[in-house]
Amino acid sequence: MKGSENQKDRISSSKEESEEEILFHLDDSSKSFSHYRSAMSTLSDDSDHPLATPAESDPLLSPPSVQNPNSRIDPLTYADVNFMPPNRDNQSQNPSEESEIVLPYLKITVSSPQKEVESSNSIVPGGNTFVTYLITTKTNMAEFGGPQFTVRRRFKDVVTLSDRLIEAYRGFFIPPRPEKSVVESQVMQKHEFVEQRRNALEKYLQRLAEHPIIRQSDELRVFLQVQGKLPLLPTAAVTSRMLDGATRLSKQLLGDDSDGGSVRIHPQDVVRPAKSRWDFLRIMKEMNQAMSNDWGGTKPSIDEEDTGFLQNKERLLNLEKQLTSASKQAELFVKAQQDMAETMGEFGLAFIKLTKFENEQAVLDTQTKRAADMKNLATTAIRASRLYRELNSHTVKHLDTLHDHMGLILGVHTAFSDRSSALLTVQTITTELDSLYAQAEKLDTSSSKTYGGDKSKTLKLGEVREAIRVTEDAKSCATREYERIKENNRTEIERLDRERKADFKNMLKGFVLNQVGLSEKIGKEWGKIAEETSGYANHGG
Amino acid sequence: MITTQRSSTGGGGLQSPRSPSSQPPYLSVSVTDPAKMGNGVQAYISYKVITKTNFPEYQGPEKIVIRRYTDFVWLRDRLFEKYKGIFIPPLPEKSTVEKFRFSAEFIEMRRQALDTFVNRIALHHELQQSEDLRTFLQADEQTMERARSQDTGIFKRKPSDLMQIFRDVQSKVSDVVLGKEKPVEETNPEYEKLKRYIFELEDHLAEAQKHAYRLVKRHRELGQSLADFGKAIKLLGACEGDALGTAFSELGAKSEMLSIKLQREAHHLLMNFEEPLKDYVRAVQSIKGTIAERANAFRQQVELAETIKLKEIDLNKFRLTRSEKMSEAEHEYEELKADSEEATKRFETIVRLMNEEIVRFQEQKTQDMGLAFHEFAKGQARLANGIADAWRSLLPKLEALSSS
Repeated sequence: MKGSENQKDRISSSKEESEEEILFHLDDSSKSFSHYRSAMSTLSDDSDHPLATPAESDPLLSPPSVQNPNSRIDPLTYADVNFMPPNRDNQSQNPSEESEIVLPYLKITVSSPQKEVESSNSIVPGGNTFVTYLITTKTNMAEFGGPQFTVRRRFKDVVTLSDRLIEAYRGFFIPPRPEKSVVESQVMQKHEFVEQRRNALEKYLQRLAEHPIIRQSDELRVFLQVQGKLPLLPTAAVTSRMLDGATRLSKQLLGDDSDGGSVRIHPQDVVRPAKSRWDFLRIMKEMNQAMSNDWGGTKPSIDEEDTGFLQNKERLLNLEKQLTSASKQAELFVKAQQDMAETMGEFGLAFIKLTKFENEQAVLDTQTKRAADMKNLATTAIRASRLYRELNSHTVKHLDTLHDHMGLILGVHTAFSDRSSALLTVQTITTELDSLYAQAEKLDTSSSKTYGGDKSKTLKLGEVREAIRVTEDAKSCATREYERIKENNRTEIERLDRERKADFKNMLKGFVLNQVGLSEKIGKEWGKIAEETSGYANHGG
Repeated sequence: MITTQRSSTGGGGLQSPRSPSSQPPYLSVSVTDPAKMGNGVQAYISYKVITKTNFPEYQGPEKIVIRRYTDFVWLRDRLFEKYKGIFIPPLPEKSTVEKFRFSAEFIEMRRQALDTFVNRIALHHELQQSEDLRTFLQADEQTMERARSQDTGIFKRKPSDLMQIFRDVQSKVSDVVLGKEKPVEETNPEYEKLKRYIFELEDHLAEAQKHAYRLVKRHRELGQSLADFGKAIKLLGACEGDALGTAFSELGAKSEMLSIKLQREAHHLLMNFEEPLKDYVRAVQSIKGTIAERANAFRQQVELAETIKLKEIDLNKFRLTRSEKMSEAEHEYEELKADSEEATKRFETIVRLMNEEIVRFQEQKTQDMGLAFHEFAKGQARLANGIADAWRSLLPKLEALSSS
């Protein structure tokens, strides 16, 4: 801005408060807080911002148990301006703290993105570059065999982990992983995109760590610990594995190891959706069925009898919708608060400039008086701007709970579709079983009518009876699996509701306390100025 | 703000020689009741102007007339023409944006500004004596209209002329500052400083006013976002049900309530802070007009002095040659001397008045701005405390919720 250079010179020569020297450096700062996500990440840099409180440690980065050395917070007012919700299972506590009941602790952070080159036999000269992230884990869980360790992973590894978890933990609400978002990576600045991704990865991994079942999974452990290339195979496409498994499984089930070396597969593996089914026909049946279903629509062929479940599903669907809407509005609200803070600061600065001008040019005493009034207003505006910023950084933290749970509730989709496909499997097997029985009966009656019996028919009957035996086994496996998934659904819904309600209670309290505390302060500041200028109101021209 | 003044005894009005001794003289005016008149393109707003006075020149203690914006412009132009050297109070701008012209907010802002305008004139010890003011405050509509249309000729200075003068003065100031040319300008260093001050002040004030307006907008935006947020939170609460759901609903309701507070504060900020700031800018622009007038007067004086010198030379020549042109030249010379005296007197009046005016102006502005600051701070304190109170009322319930 023009004149700012002169202003700086004049500052050093005049006996101004150091506060204003800091204020003028704002002219050079051009951070824009326009994008919410960048607002989220740049807020963590806010301590460098000249309008931010210099001495305050950033609550977004520092662990919650550290006491904020903020001298401006009056302990007698609603001092919980820095109110942090107690974490549900005390994961934030320092693992070295002694406590009688040691709760499992697993904390994952993602940092230091680095560019690496794909050192492979790529035909393309220069090779592919990709970004790896340093994953740091701190834990007291015995399975990990150590309190802290790191590993480097790339985004593709996270996709693999996510796919494997979804496959392995059917019926569970698995938090959705960050998106691949190719479009955004073109549009955004590289470093902004990487930062956004780093943040999203950290959130995702931390959510996995907070899930009481998943945190104990092999897949996660392998991901977090095993150095070098991730030893998890990505989930192959349905079709390719279908073809793979279909030919083998029948032989394996019937004990034919003549292929050599393949592991004996148990009937329970059959109950995976027809990817590994031995009857190719069944694959087609299931695929047809699945395509004509969608998990939110009407599916007359699947009889979901559990009305309690249906009610829950509807409730959760609705909750998802409202959470999405609330999360979006929260985002806009936070942006508006940010804008207010910024504009208030700029407003104050403009009046500081006017004050300086008036002071330098003053010929009459009345001008000096006006300049003094103006300066008080301006410095209060700048103070208010700082307070608004502080208010907003806490608001962001609190309202982010909405966003988090919106993300968690999306995991519901996979859980429910696991259930549907399990039910579909049971029903398909049942239908098949019925037709096998019918077949057997037909063979039975017809063979007894023929004199002496038909040798081939007897053989066929034997085969059908064998198929029935196997299919009965498969059915009971499938039924058990379905029941298991149903139970998983149930516990997960309970867990989700419980945790969400607890988090929301904390969120509400924290949000409100924060607003009260900082609004009080802002009110006090302005009250002072109103008092000091009240003489003008009485004079009345 | 002068608008609150009704019967003032301060600031002037005590010098009238014919004022009755029973009561101190007063002249107070109010501009009220804006009403839309006419249709379509011809439509305009008319205002009721109520005058209460005991000035003997006025017809009676109270008079009500109907005036429109162009009448106010006429008054301003007449005063500007007649009272050179005095800072004529500024008028609100003519709005060119059609759809905004009849919005309630705009009409109210204009009404307030017009009220301030007339009152400032009424309180100015010289301007209040103006005959044109009396016409404005008392004449019936037809007389007013006649007066208005008559002045498109000689006296009415077109806005473009005024702008040209401004530009001339501005460029001359910058030229002198840059040391470019040596125009016919005063060489008074104090006055130079004043001119520079006025021009730079306008820039600073315009900047400040821009930020003030943005702040008003931010209040509106925050209010809107809170309303939307409140609505969404209420819906979320309906989903959750039980005590948590109730808490959400109440939070949502509070948000909506605070949204209204914010809109109100935005309006208060606009009327009681941003508008006075705009008024300040206009006042400075009006001073620029006076600066232009002073420059004109100075130029006239200098030109006349030069013309006289030349005439003197001619006259002496004629005297020596005893030409028959001598008497004519003498006559002309005498006229020129008279004119020159006039011009000098005019210029010196302007200088004297300006010196008084600048003091008055600065004092007025300290008062006006002080009040504006007070209103600003008061409004912000009220808003912040209102926000704190609203949220605080939720705390008991939230405490109960946490422990359940």
